[in-house]
Amino acid sequence: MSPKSARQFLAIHPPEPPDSREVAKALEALAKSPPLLAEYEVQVALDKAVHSALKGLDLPPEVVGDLGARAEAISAARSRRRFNPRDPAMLAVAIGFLLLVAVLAWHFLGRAGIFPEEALTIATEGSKLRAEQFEVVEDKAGALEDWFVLKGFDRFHVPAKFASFDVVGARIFKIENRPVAVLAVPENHMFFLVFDPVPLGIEIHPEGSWRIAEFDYKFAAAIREEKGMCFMVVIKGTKKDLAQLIEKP
Amino acid sequence: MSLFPKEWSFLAEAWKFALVLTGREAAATALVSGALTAVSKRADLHEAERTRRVLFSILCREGAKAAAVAVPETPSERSVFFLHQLPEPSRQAITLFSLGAFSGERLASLLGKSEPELARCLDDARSRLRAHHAPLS
Repeated sequence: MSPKSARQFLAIHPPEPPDSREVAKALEALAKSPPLLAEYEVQVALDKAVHSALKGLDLPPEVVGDLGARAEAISAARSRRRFNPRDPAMLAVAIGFLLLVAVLAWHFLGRAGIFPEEALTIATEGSKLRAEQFEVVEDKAGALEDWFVLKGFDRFHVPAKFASFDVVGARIFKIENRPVAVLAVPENHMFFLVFDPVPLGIEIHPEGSWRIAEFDYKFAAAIREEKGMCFMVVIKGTKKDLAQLIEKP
Repeated sequence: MSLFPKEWSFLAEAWKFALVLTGREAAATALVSGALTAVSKRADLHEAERTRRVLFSILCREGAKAAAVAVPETPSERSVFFLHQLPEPSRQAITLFSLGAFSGERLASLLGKSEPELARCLDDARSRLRAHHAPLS
């Protein structure tokens, strides 16, 4: 590591914890350049002053009481939601749930394999996006939840199988005034689209199952629902190409 | 020792961060409270770490909309006023960095910046603090 790159590294990595190997290495490299080292020491002194100002800040007791009570209420609500198999009530709910699943499966059997028309509209709009309409984002598809939260899209979710694809661009566009998150993935020239299916009247049962369709003679789209959100893959190719992609282990 | 239950120990940092963004104690409490409401509606947040990340993301997004305060009123507001006066995104970057709430990589990701961009934000904040607040330098 050169002193210059060490300086850049230390601009965003605090010296704590002291056992951080990367920080120790960077400090060692920085020691070779006295001017950069002096500049870094000024930074550390200033960072410590800001840290002390924040650390010395006491929360008013009423704030602690108010926020603490709200946090405990959330924790209590979450633990009530947790499944306890020894609880007879939960067992009854589980049996009821299985029956419900059976009924729903029977009900929707006739609709299996149908690609929702509304989703096809979204796929068509998504496939028309040009590279310059995306914001440059270089990360894994599964690591963009924070990015989308910052943009106002709260429930971004990518199935685990697609989380490790490299993304080169991202954006949000609107269909019927509803936000749709889009990722540009260079591999196979794909787009990933994520959106809330409920306001658009899209239902895909059972959850996790795929629907595949071809459109505009040269594109194929596959859609599934997971955790209440729809995830759609669009590629330039055929249904067969896409089926191979989603079935690949 | 944290004043909050263990899995919510980050709320102290969240409130301090909100105080820097809003400049007012009451507005900071309302901001964190609103973020907690948003988090409570998310059925997919089971891990404390993920809850923390999402809560801070919401604070970043909503806190940036807060109007600037001209005159601090309470001792707490006065003690962070020098940070409140910084422009965004330098203000969020230096505050979260100084709170030690996230690693450099995670902080860059949280603010939607690359690591070099984050370094520039932090350098900008440090320069402004040195220029306007001599006792800090």
